[in-house]
Amino acid sequence: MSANTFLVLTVIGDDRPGLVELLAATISGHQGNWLESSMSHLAGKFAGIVNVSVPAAQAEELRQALTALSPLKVTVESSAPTTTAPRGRRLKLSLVGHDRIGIVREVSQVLARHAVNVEELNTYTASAPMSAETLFHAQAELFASADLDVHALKQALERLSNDLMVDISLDETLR
Amino acid sequence: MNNALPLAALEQGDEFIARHIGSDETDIAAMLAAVGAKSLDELIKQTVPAAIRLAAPLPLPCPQREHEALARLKAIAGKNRIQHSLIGMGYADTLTPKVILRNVLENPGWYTAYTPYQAEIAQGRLEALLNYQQMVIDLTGLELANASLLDEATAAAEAMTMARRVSKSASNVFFVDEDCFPQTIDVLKTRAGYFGYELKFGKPENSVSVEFFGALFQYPNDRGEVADLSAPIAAGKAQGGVVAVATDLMALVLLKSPGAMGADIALGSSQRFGVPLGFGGPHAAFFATQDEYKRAVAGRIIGVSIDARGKPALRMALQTREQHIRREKANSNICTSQVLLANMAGMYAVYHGPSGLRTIATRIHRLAAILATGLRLAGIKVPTRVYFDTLRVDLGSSAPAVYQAALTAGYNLRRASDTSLGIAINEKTTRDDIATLLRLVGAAADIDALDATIAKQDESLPPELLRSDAILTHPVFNTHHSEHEMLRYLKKLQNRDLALDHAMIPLGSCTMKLNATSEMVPITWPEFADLHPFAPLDQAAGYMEMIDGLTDWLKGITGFDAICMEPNSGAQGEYAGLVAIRRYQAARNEAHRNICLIPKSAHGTNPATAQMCGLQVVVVDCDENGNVDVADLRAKAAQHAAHLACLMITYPSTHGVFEEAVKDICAIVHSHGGQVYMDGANLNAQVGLTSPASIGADVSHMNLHKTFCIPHGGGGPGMGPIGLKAHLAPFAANHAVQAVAGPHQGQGAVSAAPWGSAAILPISWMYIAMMGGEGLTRATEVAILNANYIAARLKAHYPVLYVGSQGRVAHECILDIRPLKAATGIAEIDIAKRLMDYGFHAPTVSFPVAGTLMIEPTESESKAELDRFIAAMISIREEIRKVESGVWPAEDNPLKRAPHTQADLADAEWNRPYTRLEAAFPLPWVAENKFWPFVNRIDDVYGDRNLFCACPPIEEYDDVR
Repeated sequence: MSANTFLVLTVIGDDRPGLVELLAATISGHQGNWLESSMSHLAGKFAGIVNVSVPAAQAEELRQALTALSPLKVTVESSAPTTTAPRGRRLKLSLVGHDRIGIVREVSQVLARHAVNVEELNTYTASAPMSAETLFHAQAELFASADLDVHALKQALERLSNDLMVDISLDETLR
Repeated sequence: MNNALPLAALEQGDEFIARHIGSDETDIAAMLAAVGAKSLDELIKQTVPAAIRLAAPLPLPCPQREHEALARLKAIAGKNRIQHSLIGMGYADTLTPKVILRNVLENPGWYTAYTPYQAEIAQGRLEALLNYQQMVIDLTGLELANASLLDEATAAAEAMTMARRVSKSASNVFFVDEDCFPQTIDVLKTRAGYFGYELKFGKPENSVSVEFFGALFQYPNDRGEVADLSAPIAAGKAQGGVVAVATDLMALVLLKSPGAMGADIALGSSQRFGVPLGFGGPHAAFFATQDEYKRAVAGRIIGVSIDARGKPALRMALQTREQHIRREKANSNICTSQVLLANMAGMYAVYHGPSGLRTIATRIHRLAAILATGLRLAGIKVPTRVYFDTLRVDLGSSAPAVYQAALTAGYNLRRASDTSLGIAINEKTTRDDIATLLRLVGAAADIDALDATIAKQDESLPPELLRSDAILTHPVFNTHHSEHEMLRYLKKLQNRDLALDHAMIPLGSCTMKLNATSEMVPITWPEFADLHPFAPLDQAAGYMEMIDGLTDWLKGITGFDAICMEPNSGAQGEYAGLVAIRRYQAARNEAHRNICLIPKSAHGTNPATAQMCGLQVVVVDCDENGNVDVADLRAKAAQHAAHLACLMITYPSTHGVFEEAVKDICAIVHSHGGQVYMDGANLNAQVGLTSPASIGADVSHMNLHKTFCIPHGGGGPGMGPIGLKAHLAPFAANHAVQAVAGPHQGQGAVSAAPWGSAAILPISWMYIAMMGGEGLTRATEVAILNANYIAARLKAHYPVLYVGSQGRVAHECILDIRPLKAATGIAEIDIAKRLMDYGFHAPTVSFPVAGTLMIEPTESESKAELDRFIAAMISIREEIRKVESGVWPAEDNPLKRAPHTQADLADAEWNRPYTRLEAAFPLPWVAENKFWPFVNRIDDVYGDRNLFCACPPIEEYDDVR
């Protein structure tokens, strides 16, 4: 049995039924193992990122099969498996404020300044109940060094604007 | 002469029913034809599931004519005995300026308005509320004030939770001045329990040895004493605590402000600024804090922004804090506050101005000092040395006799202990009152001589406790002191607001029905208005009889075994209901039950309330028809069975549908050991047809300000009494001062006053008395008809989102604007603002589904008014079509630029692709009764980024005024 190689795929295509099945069939057709993934439908597109392990001998074939898929644009990168868990703390951030141009950039600048790594970020805008102004909502999973001052991070985010409501909690769900 | 009609018909016993319900038989027949139903009965059968229909008519008396019901209530009110109450305890009698009484409290232009979410047509009361905030800021010496909270006790509880949010202290202790008012302590105990905070009691000076995250001191305190709190405040803050001061606005006219003493928060009741005692409410509580804590404040804050023309415009600021947006993460569950009463208090300050207030406050203090001096000269011990208006008097064994003698002479004093009495002077107190009180204890009563003594030396308020800063310097407090000026100022503001006296307010879930004049008249009768909440109960026999009668009727309507009148808002009702559930479960050794199931579609108040009760929210999905996903509910109830506390459900659903499965839903929760809390927001669709108790709810609140005609007051007052089944009744709220409030004794309070906002209960009493069971049932049926009529007439123009199994909506309907928005860029907010140009208030926007409009016409709107609204909505749809087809550009059209003001029309440059006529008079009948929005579309983002929550310097308004 040959050693496994790890591939990270990014996938995008026009949203239609059967895309995941097509992708999964291609991967398993080459003895690939679907390890984890995150996928979304957004603005009529289907997009995602998938981590796959595959026997080294099959890796190149799988790569070719994936890039040949017509309804999906797939890019394939090799990655090393993570062996040791990094030291630090996981945080959950939730944020709501008036939507405006540049808000994602402003928030991510603050996070970067505090050396916080964004592991997952989901954002959406929605009309506010009762008043109907457009609100920006973000939920993020963050990873930061153990000595991060959570209070200072919260204050720095709140300084972006008065209406920005920020909640940061320690994430106890370990992955 | 045709004598065919029997006398009974000529007597018109049911005359009010036809006044309350907007449409007559002919119009109802026409609407039934439009919705395709043969009869009202058939429509109801198609709408309300048979399984939940009541078997018998409501057990209520026959309807009474307006003048008969008024006469009957007047006779009941006459059983109240109005004495001069000198009890104090946070309630001081006051002289409501008549110009404010008649033109605000008794004026439908002010009391029938809705919460100012649509700020462009609410600039009048928003300015009044800004005045209120400025007044509170000035008097408390703090930087930011809200407008407003429910009462002093719940304001103290909000201060406690706010302290926890902003304090960095690791302590779990909240320190409470043992000389806070007893009802405040009672409410704090209830609230602290479910948050898991430890309360420690003591004198402020003893707090320095206690580690705490927050503290509350009272100034002046329950004994009337005034002390400089600077040292304990500084010590508390130094160890990371947040310090709040409960205080008295009238005292603060003279005293050093909490802000000057370093307090983080100041709170209290603004009742004594011209708001009648009303046996406990409604009154507005004020709450002020430092700017740095703005995100952590509960309740509405009014702020200044700009409109599309760059002019100053007011609106509710920082709404991202609030429960309707943040749900269980919100600072508080409060939504309805006390806008009408806050406006009265603010106007009291506008009317009297700083110098008038100083005179009143000084007079109150002088009379207290004269009384204290006179008593001491007669050898009577008055232990209160430094005070504003309240004294403790030690009378030893003669205290009961003096209390009785005062009672006989027409005065209610406070029985502070077996040997001492409390006496609190108020704005109504005169020199004659003081003379009478002095004579009662055998003291000399030469008032002028005593006055002269005090004028020489008054040690009761040493100079270091007095304030030296100027207050209420803004021109608004220094301009309107003649009655003409005041009258016109009130009218000017009123003209800027759209209320029910102008047009229908079709807000879904808010039930903006008629607030009939006959319902409103009794609330300002002195028999109801001038009673102190802690007066001896034999003086409140009229109130008790009225409340008992209303209780019996509400039991008959809801099917519950007991009613608790204490909760003074819908959110408070939710809280009281969940607290009853938690207490019941704790009594059964099931205190570990802490899971609260809440459907996704629920109002944000539900999860916010659950969080305040220490419950963990588990969200239940809804299916594509908008109903609770029963499979998901079953799975989640089973999964959490061991810890299931309750389900919070709204019925008919927030989606405006009578769900068929509601009985199964209740049964599933019960079978897993949980209780069912029913949110009463939609009770107006149930009355007479079904009931919360028969459906399976264990406890439910009734929004008396929706279903039972209490007006919305422009954002409060509300009343949220709860109905409980027998097993929960012993766990309803009671009260530390009047221990007879709840159905059972021994449970902590949820509100400051024992019967909540008792003074507005006559409104609901009158409504039920005049409608009777038949009228109430008919109202429900017509409310359902009206909603179905609107849905039927509009569905060809806008998709109706949810309907029941037979294609019917309940009492409201949701129009889906999302497809239009995707196709044209015209959003629900544009339609909402455009309706203003047609003279209508918008429906509820983006609740319960973002991108929708929810319309609730209520039974009170006539077919003629519904037809006008429908015509406006259809006309707006045609306007959208012009955007769709490219006739009007996507950004420059009457929808995106709505609302239109006189400034727009008078603009010399009119370079828009539509005409002035299309802008302001889009349908022929609009000009007939044109409502002019006072400002253009308001920029919310600007207002929150440039937060300013006080009266702007006058020059900023110059171009407008």
